Parts: sequence; C-alpha cells; structure tokens
Amino acid sequence: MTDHIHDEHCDHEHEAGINWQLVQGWVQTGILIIMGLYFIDLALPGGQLGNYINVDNFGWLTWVGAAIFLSMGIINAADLLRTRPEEHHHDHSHEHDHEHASAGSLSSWIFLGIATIPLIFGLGVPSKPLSADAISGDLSTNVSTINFGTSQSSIDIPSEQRNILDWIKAFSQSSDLREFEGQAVDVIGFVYKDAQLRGTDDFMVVRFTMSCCVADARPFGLVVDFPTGQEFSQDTWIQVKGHIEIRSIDGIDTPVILADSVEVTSQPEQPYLYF
Amino acid sequence: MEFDLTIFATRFLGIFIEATPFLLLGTLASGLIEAFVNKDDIARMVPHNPVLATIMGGMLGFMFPVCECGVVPVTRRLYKKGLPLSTGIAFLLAAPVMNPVVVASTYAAFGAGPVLYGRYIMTALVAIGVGLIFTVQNRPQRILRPQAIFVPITGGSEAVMPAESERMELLPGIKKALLLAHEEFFEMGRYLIFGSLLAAAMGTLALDKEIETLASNPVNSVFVMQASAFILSVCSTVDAFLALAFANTFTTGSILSFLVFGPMVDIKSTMMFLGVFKRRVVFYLIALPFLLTALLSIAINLNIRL
Repeated sequence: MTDHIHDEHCDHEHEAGINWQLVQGWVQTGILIIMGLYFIDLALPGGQLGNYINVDNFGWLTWVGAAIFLSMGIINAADLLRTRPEEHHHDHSHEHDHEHASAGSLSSWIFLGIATIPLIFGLGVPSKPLSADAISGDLSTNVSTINFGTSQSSIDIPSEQRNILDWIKAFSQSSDLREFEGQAVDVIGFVYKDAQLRGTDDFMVVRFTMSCCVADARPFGLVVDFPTGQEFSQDTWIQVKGHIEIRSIDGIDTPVILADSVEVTSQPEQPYLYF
Repeated sequence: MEFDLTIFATRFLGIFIEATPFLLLGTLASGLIEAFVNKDDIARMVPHNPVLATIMGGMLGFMFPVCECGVVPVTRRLYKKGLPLSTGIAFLLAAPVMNPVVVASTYAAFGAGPVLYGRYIMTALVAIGVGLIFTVQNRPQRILRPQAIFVPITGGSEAVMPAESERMELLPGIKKALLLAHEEFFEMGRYLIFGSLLAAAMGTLALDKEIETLASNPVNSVFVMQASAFILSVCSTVDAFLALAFANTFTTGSILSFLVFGPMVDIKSTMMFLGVFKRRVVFYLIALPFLLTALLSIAINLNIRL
C-alpha cells in the first residue's frame, strides 16, 4: 500500500504507511457480506433457520436482514473503492472521534472481533435445535392449567392428526378429560425421561414450541406407556402411535398415551411447533 | 445443569437471528432520518410545552413503528436532530409497545380485555412519567453520550459538511443512509451481541415449583414477572404469547408488569442504551420504569381504586 495523506481526523493514531481506517473498512465490508450470505444460507430451503426461529412467521425477516446486510456491504465496498484515501472523510466521521475507538487501535479491533461472534457460533458450532438438556423442571404438569388464551381450538382437529401442541391445547380447552379416553394418537417428538417418571417404564414424547424464536421456546410433552420404553435413549426422535388413557395420578386426571408402536424416525424439517 | 455449548449456541443465535433484522431496520430508519428529515422538521413537529412534547414522545411509536432493538438507533438519531430529551425518553420506552404490530399481537393473545387496555394505559403512564422526570434536566451533556448530542451547526472543521438543513436528493440520500446504517450497525450491534450472549446464558425460563408458589402473591408475583421479562429479553412483538403461558397461575398485575416493563428494558436493550446514554442514566432508565411499573401492578393486584 502506498503512502497516504490522511485527513486531520484520522492521522494521529496510526503509523505511516498503513491506512487502518481503510483496512478496517474492508474488514467490516467482509463481515457484512459474510453475515448476508450466512442469513441467506439459513433461510434457503433446507437451511437451518428452523432451528432458531419461527420460520412461518419470521422467515421473511431473515431475508430482509440478508438484503440489508448485502446492500450495506456493497455500498460500503463501492465507497471504499471509489474514494481516494485522502478524501476518505465521510461527513459522519466526526461520530468516531469522541467515543469510537480510532482506527487501528486495539479497542477498534476488539470491537470488530465482537461483530464476528455470531459468525463464529453460526459457522463453528454444529446447528441443532433445542434438545432434552434444555428442559428444566418437570414437564408432566397438570395439563388443564395451561392457558392458550384466544388461540384457535384444536378439539376439532381429528385426533390422529393432532400434534403434541394440539393435544395439550385440546386438553386445556376441555372441561372433562374423560372425553379423550380411547382416542387414537399419532405424534412425533423426541424422547425425554422426566424425573417424575423415574422408576417406571414410562417416558415422555416432547416437542419445543415457540411463537417467535428460541428465547420463548417452551417444551410440551405427553407421557408414553410402552413396554420396552427404556430402550429409547434421550433425544431420539420417535413416532408414537396408540391411544389416550386418562389416569388418575395423585387425584388429578392425567392423559397418557398407551402406545401400540414406537418407531425411531428422523428429525422433522421444522423441529419446533408454532403457536 | 451443565454448560452445553450446542444449546448455548442455539439460544444465542436464535435471539441474534431474530433481533438483527429489527436492528438493521432501525439503523436504516435512522440513516433515512439523517438523510431526509431536517432539524426544522423536528422543531416544527415537537410542541414547545415540555409536558405536551413528552406526551407526544410516548405516542411517536405509531409514527415510527420500531421494536426495542430498532428504537435505540432511531432515538439516538432523533436526539442528534434536536429532539428534546424527555420526548426521546418517552419515545424510547413506549415505542416498542405503542405500535400497530404489538397492538395486533396483544389482541391476538388476550383479546380486547383488561390486559390489552391495561398494557397500553400503563405503558403510556410509565413512559411519559419517566420522560417528565427528565424534563428537569435540560443539559443533554449530562445525560447523553457525545455521539447522541445535538450539535448546532457552527463553522470550523465541520464546514465541509453539506448544510444540514438541506434535504438530500433521493439516491445520494439512500446511499448515505446505508453508509450510516452500516456505521451504526457495528456500533449498536456489539451491544446486541453482548445482550444476546447474556440472555442465552441465563437460559430459558426455569419456572420451578418454588417460583410458582410466588405466583399468586400480589407483590412477589410482580417482581418475579418483571425480573423474568428483563432476563428473557423476548421481543415485544410476541411477548404477549409468552405471557399467556403464565396467565392462569400468575396475578393479573404481574402479567401486566411483564408486558409493560419487558419491552421497555431487558438485557439486550440495556446494553444498547449504553451506546446512547451515560451509565448513570442507564441505571435510572432501568430503575424508574421498574419501580413505576411495579407500583402500578401491585396497586392493580391489591385492587386499589383511585
């Protein structure tokens, strides 16, 4: 790089020869473009976005994010290319001078480093949905106390088509759980060994639900009674077929799936159920 | 529970991926305001009476629909354009709730009932109340960090800048808006990233049996729900659905406190406030809404009639 003449705003901190403002401008441009591409990669069909947010409601926002990232990256690159270094003096450069670390200083590099944290996690850690380890407390709570407000009733859905959330909703919207006795069940979820069920063969089939993103994720599950239930290990995705039995546990009516079959299956494309 | 890197990464990325587009839209809005709104527009828009100006700040969200991630850069930009301090604070606190999207989501979750009305009345009271407290301080230098301070145009080194009272042409304006949004994203983004890391580390809501015993207590339930709102850092556009989960077990006042305090202040917005306000002021911006919301919610729980 040739020697540049710096404007008076940015020449006091760095050594002659390297225009740190320009270097960091390019690093920022790189981060923006990689973020944009990462968001696109997440949002494309077959991408991992479903592990993080409610794709149905907010998937489009990821595209908006990608579009803004890429536009910012491209405009910034054009700006860096077009502007000769001695002119590289945006009319907003005074914003840096007071508080912002000056280009090339240690803190300015640390700040840039922080911006790469999402990329490090996103590209460096294998993408997985929330699993049994993310469940705290016990799940086998009294289903009739869960409130779904004015959300649509799921009692009208044919019983074999209800997913785990539909079942929990139906239970909470019903005045008498006995009406579900004997109804056919066909649900997909992952195995969760609830502490309350320790000592029995029973386990739970669980799905995380969300309305927005994993910050509001809540697990819901149904107790499964299956003779060889202990063979399934935690977090295995399974399809459970059977029918509902209402048991009285500690005086509280509790629905349990009496399973005819439990089969290992692959993780659904959308691991979470959406409210 | 042991630390699980995969779960931590999922939680962190979930919050980051959900919040970042909102922050980007906020920084873009801020850039567009810089390019296309001039100081005279702001001066004309804001009433001279400080009380009226603060009330207007509380309602401004319906004009600039932003959530809690987007509102911070927009507020900072409006401050640079000369928005009064108290108006900006009322806007900052109220806008994440005072916007059409949140009206819709709260209505979808709770219907048109006391929770919907209560949320809006309380948000207006708390945001405008805190804003009014700040009308006594008329020296922005004591409140704001230098990047947010309105600088009246004087001569000197800044004279190369285009006169700020001029509105920019469309295309150069958009280009400038994107360049500013880029600057601002790197500045605010790091607070968002810190906030998301913290919120992810706190985990999802662990409502243990011990906490549920507090659920029906008129005072403790409020503090539990406000603390959860702060820690969970759920976006204001959907927090109503999350609040539903507690609606049967927790007192109505505490549900309202969750819906009022959460959008004003949470871990990630606190981090972003640090980019606008001095540290001491950020403390007040957490403590005042916390106390005011708690006061109102407890009053509701105790069925105090005014």
